[in-house]
Amino acid sequence: MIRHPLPMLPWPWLVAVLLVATVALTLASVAIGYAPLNLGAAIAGAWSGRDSMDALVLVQLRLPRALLGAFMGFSLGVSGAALQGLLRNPLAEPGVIGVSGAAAFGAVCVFYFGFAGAFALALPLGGMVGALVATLLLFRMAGASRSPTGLILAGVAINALAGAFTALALNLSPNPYAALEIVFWLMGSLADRSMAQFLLAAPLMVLGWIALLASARNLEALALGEDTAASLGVNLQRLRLQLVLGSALAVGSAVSVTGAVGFVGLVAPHLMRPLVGHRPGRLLLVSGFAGAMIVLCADMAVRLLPVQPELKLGVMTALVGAPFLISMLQGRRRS
Amino acid sequence: MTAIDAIAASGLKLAHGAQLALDGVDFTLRPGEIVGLIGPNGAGKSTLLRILAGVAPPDAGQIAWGGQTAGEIGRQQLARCVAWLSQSADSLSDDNGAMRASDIVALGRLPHRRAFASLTAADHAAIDRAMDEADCRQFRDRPLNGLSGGERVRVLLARALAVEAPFLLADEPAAALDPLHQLQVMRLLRAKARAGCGVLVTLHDLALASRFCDRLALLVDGRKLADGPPQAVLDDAIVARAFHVRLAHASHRGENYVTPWEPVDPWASNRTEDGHD
Repeated sequence: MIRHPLPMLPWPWLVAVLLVATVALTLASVAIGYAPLNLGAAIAGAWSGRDSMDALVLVQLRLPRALLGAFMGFSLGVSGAALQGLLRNPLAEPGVIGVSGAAAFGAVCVFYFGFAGAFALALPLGGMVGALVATLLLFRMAGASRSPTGLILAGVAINALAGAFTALALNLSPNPYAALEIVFWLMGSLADRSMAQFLLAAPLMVLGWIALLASARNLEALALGEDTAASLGVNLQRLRLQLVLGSALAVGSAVSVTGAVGFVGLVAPHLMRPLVGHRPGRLLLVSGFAGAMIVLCADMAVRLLPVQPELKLGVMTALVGAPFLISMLQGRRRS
Repeated sequence: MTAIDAIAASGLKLAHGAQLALDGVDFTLRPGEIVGLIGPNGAGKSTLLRILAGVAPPDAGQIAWGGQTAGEIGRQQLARCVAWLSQSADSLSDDNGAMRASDIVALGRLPHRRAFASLTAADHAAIDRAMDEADCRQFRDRPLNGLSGGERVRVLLARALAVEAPFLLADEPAAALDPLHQLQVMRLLRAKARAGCGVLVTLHDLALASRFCDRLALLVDGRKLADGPPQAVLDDAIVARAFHVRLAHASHRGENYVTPWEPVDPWASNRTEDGHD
């Protein structure tokens, strides 16, 4: 039980600090990489449109990687906070409860059936459909129960289902190289993603963010239970739809470009909760920034670690995130 | 705010699975009265409250707020007109439970706020007023899960008061409170009624019900058994049938009250009544 009053930074200051920190980490991510890069020359080159080597590295490699990291992290963070508010359960996380896995399976289907080459939006669409189906299934299975156990079990079931179908796709894949490609993609990474991929997914992620952030106030009323929220004039049906669609858009489009990166949506809201007085509405925006910062830091770490071949981002976040989940569960058992 | 002159319901029916929670209940709540809703466990008191608050629609029957249906009055307007206090804070999850008391109370201002607008000076004034009335302003910066059960109930009551609605429906507001705060809450609710608010409160404590309410409605097995002044409803025969207890009637400083005295065996009521007195 927490009894002491919580000292908090005023809300606008908190948002400003997190925004500045996120931008700074994005810039740091641009500056860090394998190829030596003269940043000044690269920016000058890119600005004037000259195709110098530096400019190419900046625009084709560094910039998409950093931007994608920030956007994907923000998507995972804000979706984690939104799902935790909707299900009123601090263990709800796109990865833990199977939404990311289902999004990944959706994207694998697109790979597998060769839609990826057919039209550009096929991959994000596949990811979103996967995420949407998983969120709806989850809501059916665990929406009524308040217990973390019910939610985790539903997540286990959805993860198992998505994993089974993904394994089926791997099993039936025409050649080992295709299978290997899928496996590496599934691990989640920001490496070698193009600006075009980023530009394709970014608007969809932003749409998802808008849907989620616009729900902040109603999400806060949900803290007192669905009935009390309804008595305060909240349209529950619309709120649920808004949150489910918003997180499917954000997570689905992010995962379809980067592969599944777990635990960010779990850790980010958990770290931010005390800073916003545990208010579910305010948690959304700050968790987005925290998610972005976590992914940017993790992605810089995989590039700075002297490990060859480079660790996949999803491996990195899982290695840190899984023990975090274990310690959270331990903490809950003690309390 | 458009004033609504009454909450009027007739023929309300609601089933929980095969069980009928409400079976044809008529009920009217008017401004300026405090009505106690009494009845044994599972009689349908909370269900009736939820329906009157517009939180859950009935399976059958009519309900009107100032002559308007839920669809006509609209979600937001209904929320401004009727404040509802749920029975327990169980619905709060661990993490939301760490929200500060004043942030919880501020949720009561939601029906009055425009989209994306922050709390106005009027909102802050209403929040302070509500916390003063519920005697919980001293906890304003404390997290809810750091408060005792009774303190928490007072914060949640303040949340309902902060709506400043002309109708207040409170489900068991006195159940978890110590005697001092039971009296304070009942006095507050009666004062609200005297100031023009229509108050409906479910109570298990018949002493509080008999002393503080203008009218009592007695529900048993989803049906309304009696509705009228406390003296009439707390009649020995009616109470024996509803609660299987006999009451002791008393009066102190001109106020009448009752207290449950002894159980009545429902299958041998004739024999015990013969043996009594």
